[in-house]
Amino acid sequence: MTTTTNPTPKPRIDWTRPVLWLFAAVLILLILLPLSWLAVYAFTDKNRHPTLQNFVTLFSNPDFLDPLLTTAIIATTSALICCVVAAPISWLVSRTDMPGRQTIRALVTASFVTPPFLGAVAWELLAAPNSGLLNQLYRLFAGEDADALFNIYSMTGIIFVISCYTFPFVFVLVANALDTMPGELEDASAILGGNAWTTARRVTIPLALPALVAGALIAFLHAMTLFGSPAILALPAGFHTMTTKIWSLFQYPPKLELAAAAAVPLLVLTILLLQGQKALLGRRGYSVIGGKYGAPRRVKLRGWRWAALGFCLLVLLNPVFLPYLALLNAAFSPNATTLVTPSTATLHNIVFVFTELSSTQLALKNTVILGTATATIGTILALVIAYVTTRKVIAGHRVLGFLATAPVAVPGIVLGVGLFLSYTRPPFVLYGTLWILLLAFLTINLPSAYQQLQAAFATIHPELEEASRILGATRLQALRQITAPLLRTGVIATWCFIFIGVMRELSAAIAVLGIAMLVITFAVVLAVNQIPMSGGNAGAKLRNG
Amino acid sequence: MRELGWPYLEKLSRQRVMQVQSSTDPPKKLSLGERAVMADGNEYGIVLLKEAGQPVEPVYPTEGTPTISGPTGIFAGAPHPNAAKLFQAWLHTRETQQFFVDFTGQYSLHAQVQPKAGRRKLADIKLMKEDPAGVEAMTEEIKTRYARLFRV
Repeated sequence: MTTTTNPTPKPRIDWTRPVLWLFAAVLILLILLPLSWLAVYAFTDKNRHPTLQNFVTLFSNPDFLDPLLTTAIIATTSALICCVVAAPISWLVSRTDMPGRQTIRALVTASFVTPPFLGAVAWELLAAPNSGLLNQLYRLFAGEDADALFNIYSMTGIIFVISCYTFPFVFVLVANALDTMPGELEDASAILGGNAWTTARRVTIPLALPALVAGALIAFLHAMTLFGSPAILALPAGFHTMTTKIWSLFQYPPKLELAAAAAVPLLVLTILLLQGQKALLGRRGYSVIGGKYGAPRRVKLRGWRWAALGFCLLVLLNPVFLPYLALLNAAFSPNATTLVTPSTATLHNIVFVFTELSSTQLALKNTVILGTATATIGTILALVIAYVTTRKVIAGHRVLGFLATAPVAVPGIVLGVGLFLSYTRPPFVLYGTLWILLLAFLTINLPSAYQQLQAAFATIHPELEEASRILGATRLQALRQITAPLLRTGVIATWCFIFIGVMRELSAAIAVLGIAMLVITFAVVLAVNQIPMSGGNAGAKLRNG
Repeated sequence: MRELGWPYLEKLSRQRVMQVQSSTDPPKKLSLGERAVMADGNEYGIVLLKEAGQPVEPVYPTEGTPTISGPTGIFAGAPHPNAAKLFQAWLHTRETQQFFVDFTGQYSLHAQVQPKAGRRKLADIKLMKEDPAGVEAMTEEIKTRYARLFRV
């Protein structure tokens, strides 16, 4: 794409090589540079002499061992809760005649796109021991002096909030597995005399199990590397998780070697778990050999239909209805933890955030610039790599594909540490600029963008391009006139996906944030810290509303 | 720590103290009604809340109040040292300092700056002595011991 003006009649050999090298160089810069610096710092001391002392400190000092243990408990418990909650909901949505199935899917998506730290802020408003709305309500019945019913500043509270915004990962995988399961297998079981329970036990559950286990691994991974919710809830609760501990190592005096070393276990575990997930989902193929198969029949719930819907809505009360109501209340109330009434309702918070708070304008502007730039560059990068790998135009396309998906295995906080180490020194001094955030967001969003566009390319048969080439078009003309129009929807979807991803992402931003840099997600965090609580939430609410 | 000693902090840590991330957090927890009393944090947070009509009241301890000074400076290798000097000159004019004081509720050492009506004068608050060199020498010890006590 770099040589659109190249006039030579046989441009293929001429421009594919430079493109490969250009994009390979960009990818290596994006991914290998931060990880290399991470490795260097993790395995050296302050004078850059090789040492394993950082790891000795990490695994012997209780200040690090405790967060490690806490993180393990949080991740395991959240993953289990996610499975217990997501499995029945995905079965109800995918395989039964429960009313409102599409609505439930949409609501799960709503909890999926809620930034985890926003969910944590909302749950603070709901379940802080003294000021939480739910606890206030409880005291109306139980008396003024009653102990708090819920305490969000606790291990249980954090596990609850993390589960609220992690279970969609499990839901998506399991629902997808149930959606695509061949109906014949269940029918066969029924024909052979198996009743509903036998069929479920012998056929449906074994077929859905790999997806469920894979979902559990992803949930574990997500809970382990999450920064947003623990950042808001863990400190008042009186403990650290690995991610907040890594973050605290950046405070004065910064201990970059320890931060890098603490990031290594997260990285290794992530890679192992993703390998495990791949192996599990890869094996699923054995079960669906056969020709075309019909969609599975829906289970008739009869009298239980509305009870099932009630169950789903009750679960979704936690990640969606209650938190968004709390945020909405905070946006229009003079005090975030006072229930708004028609007489106290105020637009002051919203007016304040958009007209008086000086950082909002800058934050909005920077978010839009960053979102647009990242989405555009990311889409182009992913498009070229996807084209190269699906059409196998040049040697080495596998390496490009691998590099493009590699960031999946790098947790945000780990990448943040790597980016900090890479871009605070020559030749790339980007700390305190928009560019470092651009690089961070680009790296984080590349894998999904690449996978989406690769899937889009795969659906367009090369015959269409070949026909165009036979009729005399050059490769570029064929791309422009045939492939591009067919890809349009995919490209737009990818662009929007990255744009939304940038809006949502926080964890890399937190490590690389210079004082003058405000992205609006961050402005909300800062707002929570620096302006009246209600104002901050007006911003938070509007950003999502 | 120097004035009160570790025994004081140890006793304090047994009182279900809620630790928060930033020194600007305590006034907000107070304003939300999560806690009734706050310590540390920034005095200006409380002063501004009070001026905004919230039912809060700053209390200045008779033992003395810890202070945090906000120094400014120019980097030795600054690319535009003269512009930086100009900025410093502007920053320390009476008008600029008065604006800061009025707007943020902080204090200025500028002799001609007047506190806003209703706010306490710096001279009327008993201050604890700052000791950056002493603190720097003990940073690790203080941080580790505090973190163990308050689990932060």
